[in-house]
Amino acid sequence: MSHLDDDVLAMLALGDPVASHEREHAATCDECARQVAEISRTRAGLESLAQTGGLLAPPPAVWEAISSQVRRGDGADELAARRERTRRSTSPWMVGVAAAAGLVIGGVGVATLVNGAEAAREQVAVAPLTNLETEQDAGVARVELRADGSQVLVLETEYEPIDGAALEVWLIDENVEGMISLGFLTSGSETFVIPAGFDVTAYPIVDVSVEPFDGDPTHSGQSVTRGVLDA
Amino acid sequence: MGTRRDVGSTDLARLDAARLGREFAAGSEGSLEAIYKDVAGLVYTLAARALGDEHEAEDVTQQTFVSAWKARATFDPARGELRGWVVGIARKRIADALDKRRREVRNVDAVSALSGPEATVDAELENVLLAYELEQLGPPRNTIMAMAFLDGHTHDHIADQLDMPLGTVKSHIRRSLIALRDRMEVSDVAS
Ligand SMILES: [Zn+2]
Repeated sequence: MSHLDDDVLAMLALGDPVASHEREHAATCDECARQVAEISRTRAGLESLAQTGGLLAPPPAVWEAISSQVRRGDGADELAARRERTRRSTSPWMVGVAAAAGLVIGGVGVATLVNGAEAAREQVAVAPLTNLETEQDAGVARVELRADGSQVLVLETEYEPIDGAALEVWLIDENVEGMISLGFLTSGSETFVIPAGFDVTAYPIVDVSVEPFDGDPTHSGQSVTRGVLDA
Repeated sequence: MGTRRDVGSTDLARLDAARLGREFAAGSEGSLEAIYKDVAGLVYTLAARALGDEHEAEDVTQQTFVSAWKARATFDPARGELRGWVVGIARKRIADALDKRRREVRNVDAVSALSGPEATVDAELENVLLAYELEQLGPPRNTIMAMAFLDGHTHDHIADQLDMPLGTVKSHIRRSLIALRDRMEVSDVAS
């Protein structure tokens, strides 16, 4: 005869009464006996749930923490990965060209560093900053519109000088494809002029990176502080 | 009584899982939340059982999903289900947390007598997986099975409470038992 169907196998595993010919089959057929043993094992597992209990649900704060960490820190790895790709694929000649271009951008950033005491300003956008290592609050970045129509990025953040390296301030686009250096951070409170015509909304990531004095003007991939401007 | 298999919902669930896996690998918006809704309970319960501390379990749950998202490009939908991949990351995180704790314990002799962290996690895994699959059965079977096995109610009592014929309750239990056996068998989560 054919093998027992699932329903009968389950009845045997549960110790429910079955027809005598079905019981006999299960006793003599290896395949059906194996199935009953398997289902019995599942049954025993279910019975052990009575002691351990069912699934627990994590508190809602866990998802909130994940989604904010992902929104905030997602670019970090991408930036490091991009740097790796760039390193591998860039010829020395290209590095030279990039270095020349970078020096100009860096020069603009430093040259346009302005004094904190300015006339009336209007806040355009703000970015809470996070220390990427400790994931703690690391101050704030604000884009402000000055009376003369120019825009500045004001950083109020933690500052610690590093031997052999500088802290560079960047605005980066959401795809981490384009970025501009605004200059170097030399104190915990600093104001950088945003070049006229530069669309800040297209580069909402405020990033502070450790840049070794290695002559490489591109982003090191070692970001220490980051925030996203929320207009 | 025929041998009709309950294929419909299972096949749909597999299709859904495959689609979610592809979306996740591609970094689609919402896919992280979808997989979180699916397996956060499994990950959290596994961590809470293995670590015996709910705050640590919350941290591990958070780390698991953040790591999974960061590593999403390395998930290959052709090689298995996303939920199994995420649970694999959780196992690693829990084992790391146990390992760290063992290193912090001063009494080395007492610690070395314990089984390794991986063994501790895996001892809990099958039980937690079964609790997860039980919930996946959906109504009314998840309710019936929870009443029968978690709460230890008699089939008569369940039939009474749910206003269902006794034969229907028994039939649901048998089918659920088979479905769970099948799920535990194919589950690549535990491997
Ligand atoms: Zn047989």
